[in-house]
Amino acid sequence: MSELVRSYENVERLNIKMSPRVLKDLAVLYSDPLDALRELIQNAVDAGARNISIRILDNGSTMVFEHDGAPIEGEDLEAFLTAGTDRKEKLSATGKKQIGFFGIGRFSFFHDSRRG
Amino acid sequence: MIADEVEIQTGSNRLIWRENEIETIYREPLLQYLKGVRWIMRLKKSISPAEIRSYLCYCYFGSVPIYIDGERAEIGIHYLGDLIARGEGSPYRAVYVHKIPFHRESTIIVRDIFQINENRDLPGIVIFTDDPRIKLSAQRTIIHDKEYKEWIKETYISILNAIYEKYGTVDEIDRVIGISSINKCIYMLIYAYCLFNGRELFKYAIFKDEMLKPIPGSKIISQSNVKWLYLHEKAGMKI
Repeated sequence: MSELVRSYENVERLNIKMSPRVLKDLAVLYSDPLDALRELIQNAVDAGARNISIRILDNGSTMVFEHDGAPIEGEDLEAFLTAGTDRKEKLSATGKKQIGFFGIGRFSFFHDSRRG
Repeated sequence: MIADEVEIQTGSNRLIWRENEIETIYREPLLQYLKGVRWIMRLKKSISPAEIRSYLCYCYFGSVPIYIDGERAEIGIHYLGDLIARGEGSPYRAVYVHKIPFHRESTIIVRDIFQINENRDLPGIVIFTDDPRIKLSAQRTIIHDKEYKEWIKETYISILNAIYEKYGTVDEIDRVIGISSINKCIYMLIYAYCLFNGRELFKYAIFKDEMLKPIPGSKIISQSNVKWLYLHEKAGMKI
């Protein structure tokens, strides 16, 4: 599979605000690489998804995870760019409190549990 | 580490995120608005649908359906039920024993996600809630399933007693549950009940206004004694 960024036209570079505790928390929370999948599921539920779909492409080298919950836009995108956001008081798209809590689950994709 | 590059398509955004540049996300406009979120992950090691299905089998107990390559994924709770029914492994549960959560959120009640791990220190299956609040909690306690059932039975009895003392009759309890306000005892009752397999009570959620309302789309069986009879049976008590 080629690089996902196929074109650099109209590309905006956004910086993630990340506190040092994030990497420490990652080591505590995620021991299995597939835990990233669990994080996606929790995010989907928090976003009010009614269905979650997973597709495996390119002989297993690409995974597509889709849900029909609220898109990440506006304030949610701002929050997405801030690692370690305490979201316990924040309501989800459906008006319910969220399962996701520490705001670092999305980093689990890149966390190597062997490195700690 | 599951991926070295991730593309997120959502709303009007296309976000690209790379392992070697974890503090940066590139954003492009997405040509066609996408309601929902699509994560496209370039995986570091190949993964099969069977592997994911197997993982979900162990860790997913939620109510939102998951489809893998178009097929409904197995729901872990059934798998667990089968395991226990076949007597394979003695189940242990990590439970919030010291902090019975009056304040537990409706989403957690409705859509719990659990994980089962084989634990070398225990000769059985360890089940623990995967809610990170519990996972990081010093209060997390692992108890044997038998103890858990005793605990939950005691919980039922104490709650039912408390509710009965407060409201006097089953009709009055039903009226309170179905129509008007809520108190901590009732909340706890719902939580405890859902820890078993009381899907019927999933209709209830506690919202910010502290009113008990049905969850949209859920099965409505309010104003009947069914749930109470079930609870009485479970708790081994008569009212």
